[in-house]
Amino acid sequence: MDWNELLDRHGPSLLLYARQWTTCHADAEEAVQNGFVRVWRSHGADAPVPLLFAAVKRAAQDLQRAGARRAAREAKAAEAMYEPDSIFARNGHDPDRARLLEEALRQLPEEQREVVILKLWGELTFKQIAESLEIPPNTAASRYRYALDMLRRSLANEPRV
Amino acid sequence: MNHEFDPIEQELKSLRPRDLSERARARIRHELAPAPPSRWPWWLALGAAASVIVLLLSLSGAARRTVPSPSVKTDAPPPSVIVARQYDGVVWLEHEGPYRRVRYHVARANATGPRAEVIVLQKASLD
Repeated sequence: MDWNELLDRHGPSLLLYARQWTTCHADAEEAVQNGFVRVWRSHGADAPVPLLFAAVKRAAQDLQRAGARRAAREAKAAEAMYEPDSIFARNGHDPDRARLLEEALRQLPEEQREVVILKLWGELTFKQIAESLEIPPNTAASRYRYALDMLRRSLANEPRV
Repeated sequence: MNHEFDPIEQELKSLRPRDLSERARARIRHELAPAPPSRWPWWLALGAAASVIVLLLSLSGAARRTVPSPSVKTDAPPPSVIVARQYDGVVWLEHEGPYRRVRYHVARANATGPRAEVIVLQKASLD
């Protein structure tokens, strides 16, 4: 497998994953670039997928730390008109419902949200999630269950199209 | 919990994450592009580097050889015209040249061999 195939397969979910720690789409792309390149150089085609997610998370957190001061300044300046850019493609989905789902996902605690993203879009098993996050598999599974419960509750009263 | 049929999971999963932009892909392609092949074969480059090192070493050696030691003067008089004299316990070599008479203060003189080594510390014209 060459890097294009690996990126085709995991690029969008890596981007979604990185988006949790970055303030904009461009920073998330940079995090994916940094993490992906680092893992590909060290492991090549044998790169384990959990490691790929872990490397992108580290790169995103590095960017977050580096840009925290700048981001805070910009966010304050643009507070009035700030609307976070969507982390999902809008095609083929009811835009209002998609916005609700995305907002509900954003409201999750970080440790639950990252498990949901790794499970649903990264298509990792709980064992792989546990490897990536360096937590026990049971913890990964329980975080996922808590997250789904929370999402169900927050979306229960919202209209479904 | 049946993951296959949970409606919340299904609905969330129906949202498609955004793709990487072409610009991001291009940056990754650039980062992972193989290094361009060297114009010189490695052994030729190695030979050239070794030649430069040898040249530099030989130049520095030549420089060391051509720079006289500060305590050794190369303008010592020819042995055939040297006259050794002693004034107040200090050995001097006197040499009378075509224009002037020169006195050399000798700190160490090995006059036993065929080529006497003369180390001159001071030169004084007696004109």
